[in-house]
Amino acid sequence: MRFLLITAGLIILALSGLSEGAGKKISEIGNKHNFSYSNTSANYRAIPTNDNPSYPLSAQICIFCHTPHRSSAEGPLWNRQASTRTFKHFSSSTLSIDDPALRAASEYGQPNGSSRLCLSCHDGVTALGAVFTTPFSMSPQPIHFIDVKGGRSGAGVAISYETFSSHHPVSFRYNTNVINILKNSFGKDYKYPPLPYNVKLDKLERMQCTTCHDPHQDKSDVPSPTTPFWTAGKYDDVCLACHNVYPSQNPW
Amino acid sequence: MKLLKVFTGPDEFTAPKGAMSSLFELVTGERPQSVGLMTPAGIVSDGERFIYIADPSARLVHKIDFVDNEVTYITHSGSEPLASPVGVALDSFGNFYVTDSVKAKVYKFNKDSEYLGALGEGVVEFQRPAGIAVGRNDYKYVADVLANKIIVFDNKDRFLREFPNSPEINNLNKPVNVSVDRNGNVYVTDAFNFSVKMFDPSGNLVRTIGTVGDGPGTFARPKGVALDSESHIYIIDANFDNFQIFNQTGQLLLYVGTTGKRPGQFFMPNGIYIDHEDRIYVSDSYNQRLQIFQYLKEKH
Repeated sequence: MRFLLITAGLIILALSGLSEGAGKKISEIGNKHNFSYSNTSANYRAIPTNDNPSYPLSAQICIFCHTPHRSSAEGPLWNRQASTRTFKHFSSSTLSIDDPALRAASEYGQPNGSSRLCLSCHDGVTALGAVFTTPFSMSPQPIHFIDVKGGRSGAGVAISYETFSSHHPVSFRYNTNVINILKNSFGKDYKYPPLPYNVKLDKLERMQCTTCHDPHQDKSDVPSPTTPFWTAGKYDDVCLACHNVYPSQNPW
Repeated sequence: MKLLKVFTGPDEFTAPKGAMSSLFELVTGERPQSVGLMTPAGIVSDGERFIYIADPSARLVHKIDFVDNEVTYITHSGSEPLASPVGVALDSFGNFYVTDSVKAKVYKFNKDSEYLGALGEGVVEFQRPAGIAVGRNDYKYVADVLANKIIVFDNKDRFLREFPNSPEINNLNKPVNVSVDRNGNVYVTDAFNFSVKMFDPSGNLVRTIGTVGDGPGTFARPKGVALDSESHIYIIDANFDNFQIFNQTGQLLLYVGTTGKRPGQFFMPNGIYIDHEDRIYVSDSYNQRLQIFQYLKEKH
């Protein structure tokens, strides 16, 4: 009996130790993606609404990102025949179907799949941080131009101004073919992320926001604003899943 | 509805290189570059010559001149660089206003793009200004996302009031965009309530349009809102890749757009503006372009 108790105690200790590093679950108070008004420890959350007294919309958790199926009772007056349709607003990574046009678009770097859900809020308004970058551009792209009229008191002041946007590209296919091209054409050493692992591609082998960020729970050992909702305990673990790094060499 | 134009950036203009450009090259040895639209957001037009597009990724406002066929850039407010310009509006004098969601300021410039000052400086502490519209009498309406309210300034830029008047009943839940009709009614995109709320000029709630869902008449990511000359209400949805048009009673009339990059299609559109000629300007964010449509009245 004592042995059983000790064993049970050790297991509980081990489990609590495992969960220590991870952040709050989406359903818990403190998770920054829990936008329910009851999430009192987060600044950015819904405020109480009276739209449905028994279960107001602002008390919900999933609804702010995952839209439930529903259309209005009446169809559009100017286009009645299409009243039952739903808009294809989310190409889920858990669905193997995908719109051919959307797939073609991914080749040009437009966000697709689940990344659309992230970027439709992270647009600088609803949430800060428009994180888009040009396809496959890894380093900041400084743009120099003269400012003849704009923004400065006194017209005709020529200044050099740099603007750039940098973020790891998303919504591109990452498969052995791409890895080989990177290796053969660019001399860069990449690898396919080991499976099973936190760093995941979607079902169509596309890297998405969710490859590095778990929107439901931060798995970082030490939470950091530079790696929000990180999918692994250590910062490097996420990068190293795909990038082979050698000392004194810039692998990116 | 007719598509008039698709615009992606200054490369579409083949304007001769100006004197300033040559001087810049001579002094710095650098060749100045133009900037295409990166993630265009808020948009406004004078209906004649200029279109202004706020671009938070490029951290600037594109000022497109369709008479001289050139694009200039508003990058600074005085000596301060813009951080995240998301909204833009024009008053009747050609002054324009830029909301910066990171700096939490609303900047005012004259028609020559000279910086004039910050709206409500010392009086209003913005938290995250985003959508902005100028209504009749040059009243300015600013949607403050984090403050959950609309802040109104008069034609002299003095703080006038804020609403909703009864936030405990008619609350706004992350208002991201705003538009005003000719009668002074205010339409607010209420993002976390997945709807657009219509307020009368005094700030009383008149009507709520739409609810959360994935079919016609509902919203997943409502963004820009605008009105045509017949007071139809146009509402962008970034996830549906369309805009839906409602009448004044909140009935859905039509939706326009599907996912894609062909003309008339959208990839996560954001801002919308309609000028006095019923030209509809849509910032098609992740297609990195502007699309202009024409609303055709029944006589057509």
